[in-house]
Amino acid sequence: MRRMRMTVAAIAAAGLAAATAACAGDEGDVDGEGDGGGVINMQIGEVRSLIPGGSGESEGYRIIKNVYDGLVYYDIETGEPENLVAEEITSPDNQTWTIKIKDGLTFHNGEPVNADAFIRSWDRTAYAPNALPLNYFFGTFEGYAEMNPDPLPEDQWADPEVPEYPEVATTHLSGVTAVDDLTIEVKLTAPFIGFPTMLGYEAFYPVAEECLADLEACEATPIGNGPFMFEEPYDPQAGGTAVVWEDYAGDKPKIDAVEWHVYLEGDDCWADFLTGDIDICSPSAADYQSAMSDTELAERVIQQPDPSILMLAFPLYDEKFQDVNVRRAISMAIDREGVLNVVGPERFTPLDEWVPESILGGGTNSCGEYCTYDPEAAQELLAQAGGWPEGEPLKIWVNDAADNLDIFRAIGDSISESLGITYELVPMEWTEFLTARENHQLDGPFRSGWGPDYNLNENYLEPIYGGGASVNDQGWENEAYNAKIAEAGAAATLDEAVALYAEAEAILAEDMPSVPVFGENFNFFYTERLDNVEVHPIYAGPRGDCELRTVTITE
Amino acid sequence: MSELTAPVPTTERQASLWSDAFRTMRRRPDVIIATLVLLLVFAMAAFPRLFTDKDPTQCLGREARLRPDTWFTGDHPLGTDAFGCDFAATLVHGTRPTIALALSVIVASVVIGLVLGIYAGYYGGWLDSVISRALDVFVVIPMLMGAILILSLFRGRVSTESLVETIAAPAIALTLFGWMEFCRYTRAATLETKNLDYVIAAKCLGASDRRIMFKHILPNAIVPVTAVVPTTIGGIIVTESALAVLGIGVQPPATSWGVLLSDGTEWAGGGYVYLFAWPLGLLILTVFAFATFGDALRDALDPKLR
Repeated sequence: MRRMRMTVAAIAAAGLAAATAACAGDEGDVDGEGDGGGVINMQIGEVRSLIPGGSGESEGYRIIKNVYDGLVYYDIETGEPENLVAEEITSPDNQTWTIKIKDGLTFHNGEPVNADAFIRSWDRTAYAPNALPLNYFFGTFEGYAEMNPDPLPEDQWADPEVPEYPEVATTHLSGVTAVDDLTIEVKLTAPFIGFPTMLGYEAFYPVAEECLADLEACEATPIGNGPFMFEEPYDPQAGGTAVVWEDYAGDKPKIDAVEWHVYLEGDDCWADFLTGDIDICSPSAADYQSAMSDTELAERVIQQPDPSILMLAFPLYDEKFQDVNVRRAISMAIDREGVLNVVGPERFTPLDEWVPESILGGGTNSCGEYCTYDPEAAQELLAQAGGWPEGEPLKIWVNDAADNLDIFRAIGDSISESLGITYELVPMEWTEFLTARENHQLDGPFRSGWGPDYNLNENYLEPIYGGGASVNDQGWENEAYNAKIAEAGAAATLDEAVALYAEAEAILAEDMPSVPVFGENFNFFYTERLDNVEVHPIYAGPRGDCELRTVTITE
Repeated sequence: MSELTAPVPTTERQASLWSDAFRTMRRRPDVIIATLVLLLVFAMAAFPRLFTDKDPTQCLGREARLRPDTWFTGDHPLGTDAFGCDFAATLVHGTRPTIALALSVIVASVVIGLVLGIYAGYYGGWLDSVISRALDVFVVIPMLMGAILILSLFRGRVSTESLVETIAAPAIALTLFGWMEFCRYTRAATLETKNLDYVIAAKCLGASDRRIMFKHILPNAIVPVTAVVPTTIGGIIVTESALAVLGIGVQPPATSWGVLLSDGTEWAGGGYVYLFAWPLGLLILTVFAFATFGDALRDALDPKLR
């Protein structure tokens, strides 16, 4: 299953020593000779972009996090950020941050990874006319407003899905300055204690000068600073191979290369996994049953809680969903246990909160009775809200990948059974789906998944529901919530901040712009040729993924 | 005195090809069984409520994959499917699209085949050349492959709101690659018949071409075609299933036997064989019935075999 992802990756590196630039790898790398080498075959969906700031979804990020190194990398056990490209990140007041970069690092093409490399990437993403999906990550930076005026009226856009802006003269974030070649100073508009933990995310990765000179070429053959590099262009429809960068300064991966195979629209990797053509795959409900009854296969499974969550979000810009009682009714109409029985009980756990328990500040059960199955109460709430329009089906919008359609059919069946209304599933292609929900073009509840970027409850609140009604996918805005978020950001200690964010979650729960449905579990099966397979709770992509930086091939 | 009497119409039966064939067939036990099976299937398609009082769209997640341990009794006589819908209801309601698709394809194919075949055979000349070459082109493309090509165009654009919308795309694709056999038979029969004395007599009496074709030649030409029809229906049902398994035939959430079979195969490996066995059994039984019926009809209609 795919979902929206925001995560940060950077390469663990003890002593990133000076690296000489070398662009071309050797074809021989891919043959898998030598001990412990080899090519790992991974499944992937359609990626939106391979340049930092342009993806903002799980699939593109899965490649970007291996081709680029960010400032910090999260510890697989604790989720704490550890410096990777950064030497030191400090702030006296949580508002002005000083980032020191390690000396001697370069991109695949030999360009230095210095303060400018980060600043040019951040400027590109924060510049409104570029219309990049991760633009909002810079909303707390000083100077963001100058680069992001209100867009032109919608009828003046050439493409109705891409907003256009009046001429913006400012092309540089005034809050970001290079103190010297390896030091960046960042001024935020308000204190934010979680700032360093954000920095490992894709939005904050560096970009090479050569990349900006020819974006199209860079989109196909990214110029990164991470352990893997592309020698041949990557094709979003067919996939591609990234080899290990010979001159990588950190801990080099134990494998020679990774080949990504693309699965589109409902195609699923399981059949190819069984024949050994894909190394890691997560089965659908039907396949899961037969896989677990195969004793040999059942030994090669990784099952652990996944802090990712699955929600049914409402388009509050549609008048049918403006009454909170309609939203509560739909939530109470979902028999979460029953849906689990359909899609495989081990794959999910019912969820009644917006921040899962495994995340710092989560486990508040903030949704409470409204996330408990109660068809009678649901009908009553719906009646109070004036009922559902006669003869109109409830449209549920889903991206068609893996068994999303099965999961949402079971959810739809349950709503339909409890409330006595008909429903219709509208499957969409991933990138189209993302665009449609970002542009507020849906007229029914839609699938919304979230995986953590960092270990803090704020990450499950602000990126999804913040930014105001015109920005977030739900079109939701609440002043009390905004005030609480601001208060939490300015808190003196992390503990205080966490508690205040939890209060913001409670305000969110009152309004219910989305319905928490499930917390997820990883159920990743891997082939017998792999060893040391680690699934990173923050970095792992859906449908089958592992840490490419540590996995080994044993054949 | 000799009386001249007008010949009294005998009460003896008038031997006609069709009534003879009917008599021959009703004596064969295999035909009786096949007919019963077909009646059952058609009844399921026409009146699903006779067989189940459950709504196939009412699905309770908590009751998903209940095995049919109670055998034909209880709440779920055939258990429930992967989504907790009553499986007996799903199976019965899935019959209508299957049968409606098969029948619409066969009717359309026969009509197209008959008309083109008669025109080609009767007029000959350039019309015959055009139709025969077109036929050659379509004949070399296997039905399944042709249908896959056509249906790929419809992929993702098919609505499943009404029965007509559900089956329209597969019906068009299957008809497009299903009419050739009927055309060939009709053309051959027309060529044979058009020079017979009674046709020439009709022509001399000034009958129009259309009258000769459809009043005089068609009744003869239709005989060889009729014998092929039941077998072809069986073939269409199987092809529909194949398309559904490939994911391009009838599209879920609409059901047909093919869709059920396709869903059932996923679960058979996990130990829910009944989800796969029931649609498969029904499919085999129906195809067998059509084949038996067609075989008997051919024997009965062919005077040489009598």
